[in-house]
Amino acid sequence: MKFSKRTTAAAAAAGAALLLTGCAGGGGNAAQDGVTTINYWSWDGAPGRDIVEAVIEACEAEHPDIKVNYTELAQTDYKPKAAQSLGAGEEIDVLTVQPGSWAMEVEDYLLPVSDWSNGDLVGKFGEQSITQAERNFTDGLLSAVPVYSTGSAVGVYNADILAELGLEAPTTWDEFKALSDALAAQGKGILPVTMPADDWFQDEMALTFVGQEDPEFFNSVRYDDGSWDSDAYVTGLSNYAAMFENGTFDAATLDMDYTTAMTAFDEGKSAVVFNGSWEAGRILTGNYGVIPVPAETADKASLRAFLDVMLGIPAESTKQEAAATFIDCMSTGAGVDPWATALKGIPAVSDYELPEGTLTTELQQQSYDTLVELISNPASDRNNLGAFSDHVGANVKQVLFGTMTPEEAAKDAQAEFERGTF
Amino acid sequence: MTTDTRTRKRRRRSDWLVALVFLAPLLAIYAVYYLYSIVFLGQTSMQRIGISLLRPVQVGFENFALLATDPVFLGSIVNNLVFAAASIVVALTIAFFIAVALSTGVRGRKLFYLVFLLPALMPLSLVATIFGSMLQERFGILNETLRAVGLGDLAQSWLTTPGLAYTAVILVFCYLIGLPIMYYTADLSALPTSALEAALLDGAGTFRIMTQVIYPMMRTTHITVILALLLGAFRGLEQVLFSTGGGPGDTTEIVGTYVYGYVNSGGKTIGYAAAASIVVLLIGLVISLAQMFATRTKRSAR
Repeated sequence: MKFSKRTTAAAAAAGAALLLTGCAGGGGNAAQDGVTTINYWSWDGAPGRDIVEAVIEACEAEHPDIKVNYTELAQTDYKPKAAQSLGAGEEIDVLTVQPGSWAMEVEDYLLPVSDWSNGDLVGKFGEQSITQAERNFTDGLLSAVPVYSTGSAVGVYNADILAELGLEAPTTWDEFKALSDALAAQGKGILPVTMPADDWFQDEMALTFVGQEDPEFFNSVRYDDGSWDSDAYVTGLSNYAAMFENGTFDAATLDMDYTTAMTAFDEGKSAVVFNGSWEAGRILTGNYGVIPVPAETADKASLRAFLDVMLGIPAESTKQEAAATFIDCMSTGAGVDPWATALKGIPAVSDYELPEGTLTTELQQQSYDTLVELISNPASDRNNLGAFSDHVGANVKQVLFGTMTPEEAAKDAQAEFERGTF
Repeated sequence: MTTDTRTRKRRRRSDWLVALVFLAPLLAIYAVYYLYSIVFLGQTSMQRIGISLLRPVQVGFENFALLATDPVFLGSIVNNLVFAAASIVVALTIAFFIAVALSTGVRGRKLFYLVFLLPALMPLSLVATIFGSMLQERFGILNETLRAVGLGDLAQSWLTTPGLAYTAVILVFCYLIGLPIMYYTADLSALPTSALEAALLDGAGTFRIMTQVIYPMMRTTHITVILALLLGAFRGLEQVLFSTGGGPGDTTEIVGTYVYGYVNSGGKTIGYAAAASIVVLLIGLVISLAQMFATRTKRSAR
């Protein structure tokens, strides 16, 4: 088959045009009309689509030369999908980095903050936040900036239920027992407490009780050569189990998944719900307050806290400057208010104050102060180890069900820790 | 060499070529999606590596050694076998009976087919989630119903008592009997009617025809059902993940949930999960070989 010169020229021109448009479309590198479009990836709880859209709106208004495309993945899928997408060369310009072992897993894909066009923004964050952020990366090389911190476990209580019983918010074991007894006497079937029975959260609860015994316990096993098989762990776990044994907590919560536990509280079927501080935004939606997990004495109450969300820039991104500008906006600028006012976490940026009118009642103000106090002064870092938390949490539940002793659980946790699978 | 022999050889070569052309796309897909995956899995199982697949550390057979000493992993294999065994028993009895009963032309059989097949066609995650929520101690519909009809004493902690949780997972596995019913229904239509007619003429009753004529005649279907359920059990995940989550403790853990936990860990656990997957793959291979052996056509029978 033969082609005329004209046909060949036309085909060559069409091919060249296709190639050029293909490059422009695929790369998306060049700013169009002076606007740079960046791709931002996160998971559904960090801080969630509705809030992110408000953040984007605020940041786009402040930086009209930046447009943000947001991709949200389910939290359960985020770690494998985001890591694999980075490896596959997906165009991601801003990445939410989950603190913990995953941050170290993806650090090779990230641009060190010192290489960002606005790398000096590090100075805008509190010292504790930067220290915690550095702990997530090899040799402390900061590869993402902190956004906010959360803590766990903490309680949200229904003030109306307590008021009906004539009780104050319980902060000690005895006060909580009094609440449980009063609810039982009332006979309305309201549970004293609900909480997720998921293994990871039962690990959080147990460690909160352990932190009341030895605030340094978790940091010592996480960062130093501390042992799970210790008196502090056994005592803390025993104290937690005792709450179920003596009827302070109802074992009916131990088969509730996350949603069921929260829904039961929202529907007034429980007086208190334990969860992470990321659920504390509820205090803005009803007559709810925040309390720490009860301790033997109120002054022992504590939780573990850590950064919950960090933002990084993939080294492969071709729009690093725009990405850095957006991150600055979301973590220290106009993009802070949307998530901070939803009480998603305590901002890492220094000297942040909630806008006037965010907290409208004394109870809300008191609760927020409690949160800030607890998260700013944690017993240990909440720097969990993925599947290991599930393993330890499964043991915690066995102790609560009476099929394992706290001593056995402590020994097994240490053995699992040493096994080398984590 | 005679002309005939040469022609036959040429034709055979030509047949091979045609076969190869037709098979090429499938072989290419197989090479990309199966062989590569298996090689990748084998390679990863010898490494300490995370989900980003960066900075692998070669550890030889260490992951397999760790697996071999993990009672949870070994327990999860046993659980898989037990859950498979329970579903096989139900398939070989109840599913067979249902399939035969429906094949007799009973009124409303299309509705019954729908009732039995629907669970097998629905997403397993949905079925398991509904089961899980139904069995919750405080707000589950089962206990709520028991309390409502004055049988509150029978209300149990279905998901947190080891024996009950185990039974609950078995029920979820057995609930999905739609697949064996389909197998039996398809093969029943191919049964030679002469044997059934002879049995009828000899005065055999319905139950006797079912158990002593049809049942033995469906030997190959039984084997297919057994091996399909056995293999299916090792591929299971949602049945447990969304009902008991493998708990209480590790009571209902299966290999699917075990591997899933390590894949989603976020740490350097992908090599370990790959090693566990290789073990499961080998178990599946053994089962498949058993299937090939059991369903092979004997030379003498050809």
